Amino acid sequence: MAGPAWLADSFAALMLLTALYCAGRLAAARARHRPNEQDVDLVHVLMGVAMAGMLAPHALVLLPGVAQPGGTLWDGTWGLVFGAATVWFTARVARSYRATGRLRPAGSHHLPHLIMSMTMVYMLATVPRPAQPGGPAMDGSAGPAVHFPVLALILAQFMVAYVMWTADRLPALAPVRAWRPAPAAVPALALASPAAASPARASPAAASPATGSHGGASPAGSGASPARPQPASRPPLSLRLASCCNIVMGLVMAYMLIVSL
Amino acid sequence: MSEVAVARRHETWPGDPDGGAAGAWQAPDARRLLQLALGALWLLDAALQAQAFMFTRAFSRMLATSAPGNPALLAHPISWSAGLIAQHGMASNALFAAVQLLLGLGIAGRRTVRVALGASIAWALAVWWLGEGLGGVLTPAASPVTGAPGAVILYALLAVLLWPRDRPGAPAPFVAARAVGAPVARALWLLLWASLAYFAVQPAGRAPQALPSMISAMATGEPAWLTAVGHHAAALLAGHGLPASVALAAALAVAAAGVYLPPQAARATLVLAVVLAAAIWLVGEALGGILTGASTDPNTGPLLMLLAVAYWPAGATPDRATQPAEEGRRGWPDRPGSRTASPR
Repeated sequence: MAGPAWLADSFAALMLLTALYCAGRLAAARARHRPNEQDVDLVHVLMGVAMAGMLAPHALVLLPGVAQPGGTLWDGTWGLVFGAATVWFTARVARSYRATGRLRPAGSHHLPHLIMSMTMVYMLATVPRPAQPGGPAMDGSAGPAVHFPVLALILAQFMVAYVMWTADRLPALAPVRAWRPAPAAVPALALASPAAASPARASPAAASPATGSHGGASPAGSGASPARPQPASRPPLSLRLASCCNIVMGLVMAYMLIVSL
Repeated sequence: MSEVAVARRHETWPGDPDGGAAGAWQAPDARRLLQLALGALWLLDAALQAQAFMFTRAFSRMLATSAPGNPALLAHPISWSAGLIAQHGMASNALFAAVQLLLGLGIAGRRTVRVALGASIAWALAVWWLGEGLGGVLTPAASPVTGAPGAVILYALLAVLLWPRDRPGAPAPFVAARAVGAPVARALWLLLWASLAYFAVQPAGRAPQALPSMISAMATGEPAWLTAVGHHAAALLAGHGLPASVALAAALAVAAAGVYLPPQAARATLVLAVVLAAAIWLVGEALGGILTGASTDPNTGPLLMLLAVAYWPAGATPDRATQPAEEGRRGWPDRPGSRTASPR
């Protein structure tokens, strides 16, 4: 990244904090059986670490050259990781499309994660970094331009639009403190027909048709041990903080794309 | 576990201590979407302001170039502020980027949108003067092709037109009229586009080689394909500066008068306005110079297009362009019957 070192370092620290928080969400979801979206949190952990390395490569000088940001091993490994994430989210979007027959960017909330994963692959593949010959220094000088700069501009515009969209919807997300366990009968209804369960009363986890095994959110009646606390009876991890992670990720990614122009 | 599944509208959560605000949340209507687009442009500006170039003395030198040609009363503060920024380049630029970031995020928040829009007007006016030299409108070199009357004044204009307030009375015929009323909104549009037409035929712009020279100059330093676009356009217009300027002014004048026409004709002129803005942005402004790494904003093109959308006449039936959205109408495709909102 070309830009002031202190700014890049600050963003790198922010990314590490975000990754740490998302790792905490994963741990809390497993330990306390709290519903969350594990694939998204996992990708946020990985993105946070990778973006921190790309923003502050000098922090990794002790690594061998190929393992530093811009090195073959670094770029190859992370490229594979985010390539896999891209495939995963593509499958999620395709599944949503098959189920509904519609592809709505605003409604299909996996689409932004798909684009973010693709953006990571793009940045790893095209943005020059110090470990590469001719890469920019972190002294405030502009480095060599990124390949396909218009794509970087479009992606940056997408990121800021996504940030605005997400921030606008924050008040629509219920705070965790407002959560209440569902009435006993509702989860079974929800399992049979999500639409049949009143959204005003069903517990969030129980009302999900996409619950599956994510977050260990197997609904009541699915054969799990009755002694074990069911996620449906637990409040989900904070949705607002999850959205804040999206906002931070989107902002920093937009910054990285713009300074690479 | 899908977050779609766990998301809930405020009012659907019993015991919500913020229940008072719960019922107020609405799916974004057309004006809110335009506000979000304006906020996204502020965020983009913040990212552009954080580029390496802006932290160097070259940025203050760039600001200082807007002083020459302006009256001394206006030019002196521009030179003074440019000198101040040169002395404190790092801190001042970080402050500028932070302000623009806060403006964008403020517009994103529904509780803060008024404050943010108000602050954006004040900020835009200050930058229009001290950073852009009033967009060069008082200099003989002003041209819509190169960004007159200045991008940042359009941010202020949009903030006024998208102010979250509705005038009492009949539904507004277009979004931009909701806050200030149709007569004022139309007058503002006419003033803006008529001034663009006026600038297009200024002496500095209508000389035989003026327009091609402007276009060539703006294309310098851009990626090869964009430079080629600029150079081809300049070659096409070489020696035809006067007829090209007159034709451009005529088209801008038609766009200016369009909002006073019946809806069908108004839509046609608004499409013309969008096409003109897109052409100016691509050919004249070279995408605002964003791809050079030394631009603080995308210039006037996207803002003019956003303005045109704000003036798009509403249909015969009340729709989301002029009426607040019906709360809770939105459902989610992967949850039949759901009334929930997704954070992602």
